[in-house]
Amino acid sequence: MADTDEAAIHLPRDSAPMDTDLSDETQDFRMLNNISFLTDGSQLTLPKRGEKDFEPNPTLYQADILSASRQAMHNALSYPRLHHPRNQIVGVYAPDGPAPPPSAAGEDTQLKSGAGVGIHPDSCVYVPIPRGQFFKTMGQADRWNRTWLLPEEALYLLERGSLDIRWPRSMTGSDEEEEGSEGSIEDSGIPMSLQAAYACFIGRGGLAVERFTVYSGLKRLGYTLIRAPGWTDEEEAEAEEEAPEGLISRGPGLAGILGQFLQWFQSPITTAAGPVAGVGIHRSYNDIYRKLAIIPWHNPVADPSPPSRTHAPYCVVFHVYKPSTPFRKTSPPAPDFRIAVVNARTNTTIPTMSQIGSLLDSTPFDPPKGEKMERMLYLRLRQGYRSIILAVVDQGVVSYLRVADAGFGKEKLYAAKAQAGNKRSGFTRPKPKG
Amino acid sequence: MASQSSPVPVAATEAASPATKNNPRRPRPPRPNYRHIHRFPLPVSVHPLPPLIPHNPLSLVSVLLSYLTYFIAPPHQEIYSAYFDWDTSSVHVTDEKAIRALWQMGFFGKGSLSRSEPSWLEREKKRRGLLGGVTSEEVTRQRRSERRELKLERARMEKLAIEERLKAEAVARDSSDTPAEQPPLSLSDSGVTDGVASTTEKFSLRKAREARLLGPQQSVVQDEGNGPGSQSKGSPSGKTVRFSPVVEAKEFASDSTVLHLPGSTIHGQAADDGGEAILQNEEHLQLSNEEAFFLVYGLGALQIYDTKRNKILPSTSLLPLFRRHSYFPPRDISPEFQTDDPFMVSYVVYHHFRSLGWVVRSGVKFGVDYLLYNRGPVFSHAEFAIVVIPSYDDPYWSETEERKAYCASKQTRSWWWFHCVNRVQAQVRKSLVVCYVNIPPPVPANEHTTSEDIGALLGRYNVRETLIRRWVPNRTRD
Amino acid sequence: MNLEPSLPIPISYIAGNYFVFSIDAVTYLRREHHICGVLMGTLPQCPQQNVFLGLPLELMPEEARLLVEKGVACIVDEIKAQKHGMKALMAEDRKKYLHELESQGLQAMRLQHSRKEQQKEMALKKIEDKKLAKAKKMAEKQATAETQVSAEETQADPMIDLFADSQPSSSTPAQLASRPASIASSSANVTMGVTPATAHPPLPLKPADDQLLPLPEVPSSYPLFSHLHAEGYFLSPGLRFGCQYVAYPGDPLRFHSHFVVVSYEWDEEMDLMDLISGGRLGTGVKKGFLVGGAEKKHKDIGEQKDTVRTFSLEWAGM
Repeated sequence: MADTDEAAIHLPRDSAPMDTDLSDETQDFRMLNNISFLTDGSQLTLPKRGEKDFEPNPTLYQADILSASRQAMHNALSYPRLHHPRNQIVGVYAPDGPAPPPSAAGEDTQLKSGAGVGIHPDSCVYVPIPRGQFFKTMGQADRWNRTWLLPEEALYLLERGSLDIRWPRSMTGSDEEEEGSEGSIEDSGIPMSLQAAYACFIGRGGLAVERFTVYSGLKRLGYTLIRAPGWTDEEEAEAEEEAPEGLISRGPGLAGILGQFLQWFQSPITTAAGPVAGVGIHRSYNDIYRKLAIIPWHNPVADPSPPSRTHAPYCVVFHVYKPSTPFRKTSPPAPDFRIAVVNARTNTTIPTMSQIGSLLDSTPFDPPKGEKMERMLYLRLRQGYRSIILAVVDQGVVSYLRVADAGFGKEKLYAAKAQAGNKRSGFTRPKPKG
Repeated sequence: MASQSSPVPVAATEAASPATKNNPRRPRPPRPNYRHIHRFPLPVSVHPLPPLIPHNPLSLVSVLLSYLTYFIAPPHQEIYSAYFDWDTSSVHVTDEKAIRALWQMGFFGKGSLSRSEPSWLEREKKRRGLLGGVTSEEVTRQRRSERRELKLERARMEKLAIEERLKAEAVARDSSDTPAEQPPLSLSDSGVTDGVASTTEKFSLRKAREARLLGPQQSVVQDEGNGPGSQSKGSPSGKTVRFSPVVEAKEFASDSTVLHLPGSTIHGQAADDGGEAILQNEEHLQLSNEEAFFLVYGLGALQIYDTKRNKILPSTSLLPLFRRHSYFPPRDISPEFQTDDPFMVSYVVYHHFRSLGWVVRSGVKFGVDYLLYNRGPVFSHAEFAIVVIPSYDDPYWSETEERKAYCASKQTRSWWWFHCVNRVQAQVRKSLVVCYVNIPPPVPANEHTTSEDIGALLGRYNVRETLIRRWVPNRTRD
Repeated sequence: MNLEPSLPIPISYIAGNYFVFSIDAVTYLRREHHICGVLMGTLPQCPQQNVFLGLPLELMPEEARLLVEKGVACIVDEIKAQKHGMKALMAEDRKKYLHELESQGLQAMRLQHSRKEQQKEMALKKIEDKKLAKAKKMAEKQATAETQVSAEETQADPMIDLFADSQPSSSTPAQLASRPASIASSSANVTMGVTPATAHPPLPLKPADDQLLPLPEVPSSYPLFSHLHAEGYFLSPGLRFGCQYVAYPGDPLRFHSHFVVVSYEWDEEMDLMDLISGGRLGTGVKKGFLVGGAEKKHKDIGEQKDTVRTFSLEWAGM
């Protein structure tokens, strides 16, 4: 077969794990009935994909299945968020951010501002009596043993039915007890609805809905997420750094001219009009390839000389940890993944090289390591030297892309071939061609 | 000197042995020995020096000797000929020997009447029964027509089942006093209570195949009537929203006539001439402009004549020609070239990957710019699919609003397109590589001399490859 | 489930996005107007997975606009509505609301309690049966019995049945209280805390006029969107699949999609390569690649006329 690529299309699709993702498509909610409701989530085994029809037909049979599916969906979505008193966790919404408890307010005037509390300023819900597994990875304790939650943490916990958030007195028009209700973040006893929670927390402290979608989606799978430094895109620092950068890179520069001169010197004349490989007798193919290398390429190993700034949305907003990674919220380890979140409706085009480049450069150097990587060229290239996960969100539907600095220029395929000799396995895929 | 070529036969026998081993299992003619055919990675001949071994003074003599031989009788470096075809904006190679050489040594170009390797003549001979075996194109066509028939069969079965169910439901409605309750009850048995959304109306291609096997036993005549053409007419499927069965059948019908038309006329001719007709190869090798320029400028292995075929175009005049032809319609001769001429951008990438040893071929059939093969398409699938995106990072491009707007229009691609390309690559199990090409600012007027220097021009670009892969959080949890 | 919510349905506008929080509205929009949106919330009964998601429903601006244009819905500035609504909450309403929640919580507790009792009984019975049947491999059987119990409990879930129609609007505290509290054990009398899905009650159902927002801004693909919608297709966001919309011939709960859809401007230049990848994308997953857009309007053609044209592409191989 002259062209083996054609055959690739006819490979059985089941064997391509890339394409089977249950959350890709709307699943039949009747399948949810298979899931035992009141057991804990870790023991769940998800049902298989439901059967679907290709087109509507006038049979009652089809209509009935559809209405049964809809009924199942309706039931599932009606399921209430209940808090058993035994393990009920109550939080209180603090619309103006962290503040000391009213009892402590008098002690120290500095505390009044909220800054003295030492809590992330975006926090907006406090839990007076924190208990349970969630606070191992979420929240920040203050000196009064209250735990403060960021908006995404509060909303996520409320949505999954694990936190009962109450309106503060200051917001509920508590007409009776007028004294001290001004700015009071004491529990009014009124539970906050899911609807109100969305209104209060989405859009607060940089929590755009696409960021929350990514946050809760990964939390549901058991990942631990914390905000990364890139969460807030500080604009003021921009002006200072831009000026020198502009000076350096304008024009080819001295180094550039020198480089050009050297290049010209090394390979006299032949690159001007070719042939680049040179005239006369060639001693080896490797020589020819070496001469052909005249296109400059980005070296992923070299330090990004002026570490360029990242700009929203192309900056790391979440550090993500696998469920298996030991995590301590007081001293989080190096993340397993770094995620940038893009709203595809407001940023409709893919990133430019400078956007993706500075995003990649902002991640640590992580070259391919290990025996397998050393042996397998393709693996090495796919792994890359730096990597980032882009979460592109289109109206609540997230598609994740891993972007890696590949560094093809570092892999001289022609030389590797000669070197490896008969060890073909390193370069070809394990499967023989068809 | 003869010993220098010894690695080749060794490799050839090595490669031949697995092929012969496979023979008894597959009743196919033995595969060509690709390792031998494609043993040279580039259409340039190489004359290695004998190894110089310090302890062995004789090796020095042998080195000197080989220098002397090359000096006295320099080995002949073949330069192949081609011409630029204005109408297709590409380079054509018609010389049989050149076609073979360019294909076999580095997989350059594609047969104008073939999918990739120029194989029209071979196919034609086989079709006329002059040679045994089947070509890959024939295999594909056969497979496709079989699949189509199976699909039609499946569609027919589905339609029948729906009609039968409708009938049954109508009967149930008529006979039963409480018609409304009947169907939901039966439904809850099968679907809701046990929580399994199972439908009985599931059709697989396997079932269709079984039905097809049974078909001939039942009635041969009817089966004949149900050929792909009449099938679409026979089923009055006015309501079908799905386009596939009907449209595919039509497409198949027209497709097959187109495919067989030239064949049948030639058959007729051949019969008239008593099968003596001498076949003339009507196929030529078509080189993309990037390939052609690489062969001329990079390797010096090709010379390209102008359209009238009377003048050899040097690389310094080929480059402007190709740059103009990278627009549609081709641009008139203009003094000003842009650094982001499509040809410049695509050539930079082509040259880059070629210089690393990859076999670079067009990726148009997968919706990408290039495919990267290790050694060549006959050896393995392309692992990497390259999409080229220009990048305007130089401060020059953001100096004025006008330039900013221009760059934005050039480098912005939509997210949906990006996901589309990525999905297509995943379907065919290729890794998507976005290759950004940093576009240099235009050459200042006072440095005009450098624009003649192609190497210096190419050296002003910069490429950066990023590998894109779908990340499935479900699978990276531990 | 076949409730008709009072129209227009309020669509909550929060930080640039459109949400629906009422389950009755979600079901109604899906059934009557072929608007599915995207469920983005965690299901409290099953919070550790992404296959089945719950409220809220996020609507595309296109969907929100279509509904407003049809007069089915209105856009509410939810942040404003919450702030003002809670401030303006009367003490009386507040008490009533809290009382309502309390009785709901109490009822839920009783139900859960009775269910647990039932489960216990069943499990015990199962174990007894097994004991009698085969005394040999007792330990093993116990394990299987437990798994069977958990499978059975899903068949008839009283909890779901109760709350299926228990949106605050449809279930009054009186109804809930009237249910026989058969098991009156000590723990069953403690109330459960309840987090309602919607803010109504205590907030009024009808938003104040100053909380209403104008028509949502939509992308240029809106004409194609509304055209396909009018043709009976269910549309959902398509980016993950490599397109703008995925078009289903019926409810996506039940049907496979037919088209991957991309909108073009009438004069927009199409890159042939994009058509190739689009065609391959569609054909590779047995769908059509549909491109379309609104034809530039001529002056003599009435405004009302639908000028959208669509084309379907199929990749035919080589």
